[in-house]
Parts: sequence; structure tokens; C-alpha cells
Amino acid sequence: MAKDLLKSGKLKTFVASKWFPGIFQFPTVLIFTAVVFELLFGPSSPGRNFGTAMTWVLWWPVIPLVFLLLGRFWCAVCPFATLSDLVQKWVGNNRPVPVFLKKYGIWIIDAAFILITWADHIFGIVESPRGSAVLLLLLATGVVAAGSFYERRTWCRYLCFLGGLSGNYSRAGILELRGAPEKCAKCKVQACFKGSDKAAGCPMFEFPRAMDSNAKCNLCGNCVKSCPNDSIRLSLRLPSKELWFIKKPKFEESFLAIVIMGIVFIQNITMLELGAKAQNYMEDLTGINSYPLSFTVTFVIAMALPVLALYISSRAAGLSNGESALKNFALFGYALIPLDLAGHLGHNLFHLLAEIKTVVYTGAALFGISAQGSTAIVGNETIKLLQFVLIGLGTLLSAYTAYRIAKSNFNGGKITASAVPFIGLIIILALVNIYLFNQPMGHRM
Amino acid sequence: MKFNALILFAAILLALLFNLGAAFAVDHSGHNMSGRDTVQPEEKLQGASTDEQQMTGSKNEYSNQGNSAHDGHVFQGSPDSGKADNWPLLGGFGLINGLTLLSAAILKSKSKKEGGSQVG
Repeated sequence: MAKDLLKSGKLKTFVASKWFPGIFQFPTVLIFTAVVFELLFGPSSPGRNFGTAMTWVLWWPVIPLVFLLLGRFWCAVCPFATLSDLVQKWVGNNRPVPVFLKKYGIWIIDAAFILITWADHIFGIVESPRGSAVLLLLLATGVVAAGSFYERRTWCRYLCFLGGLSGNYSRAGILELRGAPEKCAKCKVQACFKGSDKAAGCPMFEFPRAMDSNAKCNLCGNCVKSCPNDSIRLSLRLPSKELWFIKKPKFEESFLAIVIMGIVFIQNITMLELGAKAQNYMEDLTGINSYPLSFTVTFVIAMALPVLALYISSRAAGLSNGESALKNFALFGYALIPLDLAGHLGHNLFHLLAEIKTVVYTGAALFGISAQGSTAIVGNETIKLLQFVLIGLGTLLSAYTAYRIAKSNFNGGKITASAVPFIGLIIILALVNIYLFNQPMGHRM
Repeated sequence: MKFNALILFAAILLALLFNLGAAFAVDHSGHNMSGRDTVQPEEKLQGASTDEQQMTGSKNEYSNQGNSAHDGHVFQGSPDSGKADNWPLLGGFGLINGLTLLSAAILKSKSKKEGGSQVG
């Protein structure tokens, strides 16, 4: 069994203390407030706005890495979560989560993710301080509404689009929180879920005793504080290990995995000369001169192709393992998550390393200091190399995950026969990523 | 009580729609801050020219004094063309959230008076 990190006295004391996770929440709220203020009232050019630089050049590129290393810990310190807690404290009605949210929340997240990506290209979000502000204010409005009427962190668990992404990525992450089965079996109080005088119950509606995934746990430490039996364990695991043993695969979660792949493609393509050519070709082909319309057509095609490819792989696997295409889709879609993460990180690595100094320059400008110079900290060739390494690692992990999923669910010759169509798809998706990363890319700011 | 809550909910929804409508109306008024309009393709694809320059061995205009290890683009500290005035946008969202909080507070106090059937 992996080493329990909470056995180390200092970490346990820190997590169990009243300062955790508040010590991280306070700075994130402060920075978030400054970011929103800048987005609303700062320079109207995105390249000169501290808010857009912080959000899209620093936070967005770094966040997948946080999910990989720390699971959903960001969700514990996210300013929206703090806002939700405050609203609940003031006016919260603490009503039970509506059944339709429990049932269809992940579809709402899938749809929101697609809609936000589409809206970014139609109305401008990433490259517009005002657009970014509208997005953040819309999210805040949703958070206030959910916190006002529903219990715990309903928004974070069932509605936050980033929560859906972080849930998927955290499955591939290296941190795992669980209850010790032998201790939990004897527990009568279930303070981890219900809360105690030391801390509230799990804000994410998780019950550590029954947890077999870190997709929902935000590592807030409430269960560590409340558990009277010292049952909570925090351990390191191999990246993507959780994906090898998914007990109840959900179609919508696999769908999100392949949707994210499509979104990364879209984000890449629209920043390439290739994207402009594809757009022109689409306009010539359809005779549509309106950008929103022609982009929407391109967008739908780019999003549908990976989904279709996964469906075809699922059908092909079904020929050997006898399962329906939908079941194989739900089961093996999880195998794409490591490659998703690698593609997402790879795409954003370019923005992080080639534009990071924008954060410093725009930050300095807030204090009246005028600075100028290159925005990059490493050259494009170095970034490309890192991107290829990431895609290589993601491909290996995804392919191995497909094999392990097959091994967990099938026997004998069905194992290889089931995994091969998905490994083939993973290699194709990796090659597309490599091709896209090899093209000259535009900057965000 | 349900009727009051419904009216408040409708008011919030209307305010949200008006607010979004106003936000996008400004965005389409010709001087919007959408990246689609302000950032020209040739400006956006700076990486492209950088790469091409690297491939042809020519001097990289975006690097620090020709140091090819640093690409990106040059941030120039010239003053911005203008600062945004988004008070109406903030006010609109403030109104929506205020109405939401108000309706939640009314429901909460009503529930307390009725003995409460709340969870948690």
C-alpha cells in the first residue's frame, strides 16, 4: 500500500488546522478581485491588461498541471467556492440538490464547455478583457444562485465547467484521498460526510469510505479535521492509475474526455495559419460570408470528428469483445484523459512560456512602471520539444490505460482485440496533436 | 410564498437577459474589445514569422538582441488607447445577484418562521 502522506505529523497538523485551506483562499480571493477589477476597468487591449494576462497566460495554462499534481485542490481554494461559502453563510437555504442536476449535471458541464469555447471565438473572451469579465461575472451569478438555494457546493460538484475538467484530469492525477476501510467499517458517526464541531461535512458530497475516485474530492481537509478515527489517508499513486479500474463508467464523462480533445484541436487550429485557411475554405465551400456562421460549421465538424472516431473505435472493439458501441465508448473514453491532459498542457505551454512576461509587464504597469521586452522565457524550439515530450508521455499513458481497461474488463484474446482500436485512435490523435504543435502558432495576448 | 419567489426568479432572469443583451450590444457596436476585431491575423500569428525567421536564419525581431533562445513577442510599454468603462455591466450583474440574494433571504426567513423544512 502506498505511503500515507498524512502520517507525516507536520502535514497532518497543517491540514487539520483551522488555517487550512483558508490560508490559500485569502490570497486567491484578493488576486481574483484585482483581476476582475482590471478586466472591467483596466486597459481595453488584452495584451496590456493584467486581468487577461493573469487569467489566460498564467492561470489557465498552469491549472491542468495543478490538477495532475494536486488533484482538485484548486477547487478548495477557488474564489468562486469561497463566494459560495459566504453566500451560504449569509442567506443559504441549504435545499437538497435537485434530482435533475444529479442526473444531468455532467451533461450541463459538457454543454457549457462547448458553449464557452464557441462563444470565445464568436464574441471574444480570452482576447477581450470585457468578454473575460462577462464570463467571470456569469459564473459568479451561477455560484451566487446555487449557494443561495442549495446545500454545500452544489455549483462546484454539479455545474462548474472547470469542475468537470478538473474531475477528469484529477483521475489521472498522482494524489489519492481515501478512508481506511478497516477503520471506516467500524465508524458509527460518519463525521466526514455529516460534519462535526471541528469542520463542516464534505462540501463535495463525498463519503471517503465509499470513494473509489478522486474526481470529486477537492482535498479541502474537512474530513481529516472531522474524522474521530484518524481514518483518512492521502497517498501518491501512479499517474492515470485510477483510470485503469473504473467500476461504473459513465458515457457523459467519456464524452467530456473526447470533447476536450476536440476543444484542444479547435484552440490549436484557430491559432494557426491553417485555421485561417480552413475557415476560408469553409466560406468558399458553403458560400457563407458570415464569420459566426462559418466558424460554427467548422467548430461543429472539428468537435464531431473526434467523437465520431471514438464511436468507430468502440464499434470496432465491439466486434471482438461483444459489447455495444456505447458501452465501449463509455468504458474506453477514459483512456483518452492522459492524452487530453498532455494536449491541453502542451497547447498552453506555448502561451505560458512564450507570453509569461506579459504578466510581469502588465503587473508592473499597475504601479506605473513602464517595461518592455520579449514576453518569452524560452525559445519556440524548446517549447516545441517540451510539447512533443508531453504528447509522447500522454500517448504512452493513454495507450497503456486502454490496455489496462481492457484487462480489467475482458479475458484472454479479448483484451488485446478490445484495446487495439483505441490504441490506434490514441496514436492518430497524438499525431494530429504533433502536427498542430509543429505549426507556427499565434499568441494569446 | 411560491408566487413571490416566482416573481423574484422571473425578475432575476429578465435582468440577466437584459444585462447580457446590453453586454453583447456594446460588443457589436463597432468599437468592441473582442479579439476577433481588435487583433489582426498578422498580429496574432507573430509566432509564425518568428519561426520562419528562425528557419531561414534571419534575425528574430522578437528576440532579445537576436538571441534565438527567446521568441514570444515584444511587449511595448506605450500607454493604452483607453480604459474601459464597465460600470453599467458591473451594475447589471450586481442587480441580478442582489435580487438573487434578496429572494434567498426572503425564503430563508419565511422557512424559519414556518418552522423550517430545511436540510443541512
